Amino acid sequence: MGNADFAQLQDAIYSGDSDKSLSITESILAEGIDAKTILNDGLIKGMDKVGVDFKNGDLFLPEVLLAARAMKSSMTVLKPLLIKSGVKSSGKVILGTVKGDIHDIGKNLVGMMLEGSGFEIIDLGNDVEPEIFIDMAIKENCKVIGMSAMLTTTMMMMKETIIKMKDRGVYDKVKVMVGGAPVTPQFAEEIGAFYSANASEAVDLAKKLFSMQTN
Amino acid sequence: MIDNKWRILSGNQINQIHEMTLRVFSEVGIEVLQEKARRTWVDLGAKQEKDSKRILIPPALVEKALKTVKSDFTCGGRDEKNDFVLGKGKLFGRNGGGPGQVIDLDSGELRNATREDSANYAKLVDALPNTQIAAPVYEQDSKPETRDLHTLAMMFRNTSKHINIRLLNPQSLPYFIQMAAIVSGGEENLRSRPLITMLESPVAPLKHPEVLTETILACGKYGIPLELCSMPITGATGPVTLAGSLLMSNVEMLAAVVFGQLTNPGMPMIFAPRIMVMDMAIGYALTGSVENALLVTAGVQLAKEAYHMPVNMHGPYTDSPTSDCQAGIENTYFSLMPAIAGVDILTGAGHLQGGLVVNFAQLVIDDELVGMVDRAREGFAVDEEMLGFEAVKDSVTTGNLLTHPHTLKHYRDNTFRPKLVTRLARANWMAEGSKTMFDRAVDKVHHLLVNHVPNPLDEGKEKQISELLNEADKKLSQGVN
Repeated sequence: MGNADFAQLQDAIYSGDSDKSLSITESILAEGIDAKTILNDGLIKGMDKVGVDFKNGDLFLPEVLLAARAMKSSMTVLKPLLIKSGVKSSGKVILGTVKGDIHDIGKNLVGMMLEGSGFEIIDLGNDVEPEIFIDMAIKENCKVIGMSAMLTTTMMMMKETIIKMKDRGVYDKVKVMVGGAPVTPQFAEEIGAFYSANASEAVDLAKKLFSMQTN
Repeated sequence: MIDNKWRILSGNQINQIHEMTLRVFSEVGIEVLQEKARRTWVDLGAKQEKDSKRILIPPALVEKALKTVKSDFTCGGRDEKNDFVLGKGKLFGRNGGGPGQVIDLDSGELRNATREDSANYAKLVDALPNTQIAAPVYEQDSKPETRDLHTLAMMFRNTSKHINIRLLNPQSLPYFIQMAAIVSGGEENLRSRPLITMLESPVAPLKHPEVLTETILACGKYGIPLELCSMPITGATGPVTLAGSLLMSNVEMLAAVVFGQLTNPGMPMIFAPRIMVMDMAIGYALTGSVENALLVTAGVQLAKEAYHMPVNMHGPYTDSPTSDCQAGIENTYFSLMPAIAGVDILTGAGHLQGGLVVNFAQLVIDDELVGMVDRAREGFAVDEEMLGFEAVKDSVTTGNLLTHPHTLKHYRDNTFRPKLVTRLARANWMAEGSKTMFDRAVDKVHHLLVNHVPNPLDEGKEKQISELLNEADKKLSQGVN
């Protein structure tokens, strides 16, 4: 095995070729390389390049999503091995569009981008009751919850959900990230949540929130 | 109005979009989220897909529905002098509604809208000459469950113009109608001169939520105009191509038109395809790009040429977060393009940043822009009198035509007198403080807020509205804020 294999894997991720990324991952595994090395030197490095070029405006959103999909396809074989060897995922994030709102394109986008960065996503869908967020956070011992709202009105449900999290003693154990067209950094701060303006910022934010929690 | 409207779609292209819409109706259908509405669809003759919420609509139902669509109807104002007939070629302006945030005129900072802002926004529209329809900003201090009702009351108090408003809480629907009936002086008056237009939206892709179907039925029952606004995002919740998302939007709205016309034939409806264009490099849904402007123009044609319905389009509209040159550019093409295609209502005066925030000074500027656009689409007459042969001939002897009979006869003809643009010589402009158009707009806002007094709401009606609000607060609020 040489670096050439990792370069090929990174290319497959970058170009969003799911079949190729899976087959290269399998062949590197067959050479006896451990899953964690493949994840770090192949997949994540490939996605890092994608992230940089997206920020520069060289890659467009559909290309990023294809890359994320390619990463996910490689992860189908790596994930069981990573769990077996005790390697933790980047983190588990619960996502949902708040109660009263069925707009979910933004939330889905964030989910795909987070998955592409190695996060595990529990997607509760749209029109999600506060209790459902809370029950899932307790059940999965999840540290980060992401809420989305598209309407100025349903945005208030973010505040409601956080109040209920406090009532049930969950708020202190999680970090809440919020986003959506009407949401502002000030609003997020007011309700005790963290703001990101778009899907790629959401990935950076999730990384930051997990690092805050391990400290 | 100029004879040759600007058309960017050919008749064949319009037919193609309609035919493809019928194909989507019969092969893909609409996801109707409310069970009661699905049963109504089936009773009307549509098919429900097995084990799904999808309703397939046969072409015969569409044909039947389109026969009863109204091409024009009256919209009332609390003061009868503000009544107008929509759909007969005249352009009407409506300010941008919906946001809960305004840009503070003193500090320039973005902040939550207060009750006073909500009142002032309506009051300004009441005072402005080119904005005939008022839409709200929502104060953020009130209880969310009845915020929409308190806002409607606030608008009735501060403007006697026609009001465009949507539900924030679906439970408010009966109270909306009761309040409008109180102000109208009864349900029959409400029907003949509806004081409000309601706005409701399908959700892309291809969903009709419960609040939409319920609002269609209620508006149909009481004769309240319903603006159907569909906003797929190209490449995200609609096809990436402009044509594809136009199709998507058309499917979502036309299905709502069919539902409304078949349940209450002849109910007044307004077409409002407001497709958002995704910037694929950053992942934002745009509202003010030149591609958006092409879509609103095409949307006007669809509404008017294919369905003969009144149409309400975004414009002035901009993605700029502030009142800058970008806002000026985008707002201009974004109102001129749909206007010269024949739009009935231009929506968006006062909005910035794709409709997420309101700036009162921008409202005053946009009101003036709509006035200019209205003037532009009037065109000008060309005939023997207008060509002025005598004036041309006499100029040879008189040297100038300033007091020529032809000049004296026509110099006041149809000339739009802008209030905010400057036409001063530089020295005079400087002597007046070198103010930008925005500065002058801020001055005008302050002036209007101090000096304009809306026609007050009748005391008896005010009392009834207060009682209704009390009742709604008790029934709909659970003490959350």
